[in-house]
Amino acid sequence: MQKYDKGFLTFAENTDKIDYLSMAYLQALWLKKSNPSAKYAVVVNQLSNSIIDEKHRKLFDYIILVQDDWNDEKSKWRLQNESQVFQLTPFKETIKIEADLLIHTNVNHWWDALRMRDVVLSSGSVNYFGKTNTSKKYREFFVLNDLPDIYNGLMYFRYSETAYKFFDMAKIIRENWKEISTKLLKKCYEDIPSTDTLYAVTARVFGEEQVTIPTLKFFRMCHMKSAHNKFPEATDWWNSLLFEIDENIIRINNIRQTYPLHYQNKDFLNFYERNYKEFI
Amino acid sequence: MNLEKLEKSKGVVFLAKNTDKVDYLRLAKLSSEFVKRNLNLSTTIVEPFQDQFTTKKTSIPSQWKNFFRWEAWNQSPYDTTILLDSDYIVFTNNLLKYTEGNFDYRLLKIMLTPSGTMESYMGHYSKRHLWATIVIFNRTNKTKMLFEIVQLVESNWKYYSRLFRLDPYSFRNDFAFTIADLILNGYTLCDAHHLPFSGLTIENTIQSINIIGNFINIKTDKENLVVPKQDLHLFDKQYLLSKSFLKFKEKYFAEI
Repeated sequence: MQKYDKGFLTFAENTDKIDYLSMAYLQALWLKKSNPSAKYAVVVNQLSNSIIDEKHRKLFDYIILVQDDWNDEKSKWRLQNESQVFQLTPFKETIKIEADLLIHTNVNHWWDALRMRDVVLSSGSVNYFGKTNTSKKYREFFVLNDLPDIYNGLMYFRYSETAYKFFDMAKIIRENWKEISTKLLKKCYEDIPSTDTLYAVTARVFGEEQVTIPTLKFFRMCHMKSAHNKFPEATDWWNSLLFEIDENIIRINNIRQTYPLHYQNKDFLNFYERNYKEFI
Repeated sequence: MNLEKLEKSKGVVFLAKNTDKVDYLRLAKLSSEFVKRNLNLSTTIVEPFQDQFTTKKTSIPSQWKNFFRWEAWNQSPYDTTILLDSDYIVFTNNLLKYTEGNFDYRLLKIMLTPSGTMESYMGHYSKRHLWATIVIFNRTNKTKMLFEIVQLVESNWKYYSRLFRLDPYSFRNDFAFTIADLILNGYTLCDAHHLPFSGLTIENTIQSINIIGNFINIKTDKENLVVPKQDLHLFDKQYLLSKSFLKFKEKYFAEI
């Protein structure tokens, strides 16, 4: 497949419970609003593809149907195809983002900085105050196994030999996961690795210095988990914190958001559609 | 209200509103003596007279209310103003340093007590508030906006308390200044207008205060403290108005 230019790519592989395509649609709307010249590609499975209509075709620059589905049918999470991103992307330079991530500010400056490496996995995350998250509650496994604190939900790669080798290594690790998880990792309870786990292990083996730029502080997401943002575990964050949209600006608890917002809880989409219909 | 422009363009302002329990006017006069001695600055005491503001003395008591701090902008006759709480006792000339340089306003970010940092979250899920105990400001457009927003917040406290998820019955100047600073900085967290030092508050009932060399010995009902000589925020207003403190003050002024 010929690769062109640069752009943003997400995976929207619907399950019978989660509508990733709608998340991707909202994501694309915000991205295009804040970055009018940005190109946007969405990778879909058969289920998502069957509900694509005119509004999607108008907004998405590329719609890519996964031909070779690596997902286990029994698996709840549709994560395995993400390792095919190197082959699937239509771009020479790709910023891969998770579907539940809203990019609401202009990020043109990212490209120049990211080009320092062929692959850049974002390092660390922030809370809604814009402060670095220090809680290791959700990363105990990473800490135990000395894995880098990376987030594949926001990553960059260039169509290059390094990137090819990185994703190839990820594929090999995934294929040998049973062996690796039982013999090389401590307290690994993931039968099928999440993409964060897979890429963190790959980065560790491949060489973190080749695939991260930890000092690139602006290339991080605002992670809306309770321990990071001090709201009760049992509640949805938009019920504990005040969420506002002021033209192109997102505020949470009266703090203007400057990092991409990883709303994380898929029910947020229902809340958003209910209250911010005019922004859709 | 027209005030004559004073000769000096740097000074300290106290807002004093008497209540049935505390003679804030007398407290402000007491604090101003320490200011004059240690900062060598003019002081102005602003006292509300019913709904008007005046720099003249009155003795009309009123209910204590944590209001009208925004009036400092209108009432201050100085180009550079240090706005202090009446119970903030100045023992050093440190504050002078923070009146220098090019700035709009400076607010206190961290307040300590002898046992640690003072609790300062505005609400359950909110940010920490700033402390309006010390406000240093120049007469600039930005500062004018700050005080206007403080007034706006106070006048519309019901709305702002809901917006910031705060108790609608607990208005505090600290909250108003924090909200104003946040709004003025485009709803972003910005340290540019914060004083780079921590204040020290003594919360407990004070029995005595003594200066020993470069240290201050404070005996309270719960502890006996020795702290480096510094400006102090003393909650115990009854002690400050007592004969014991008066005696300490006379001794202190005689020795320095």
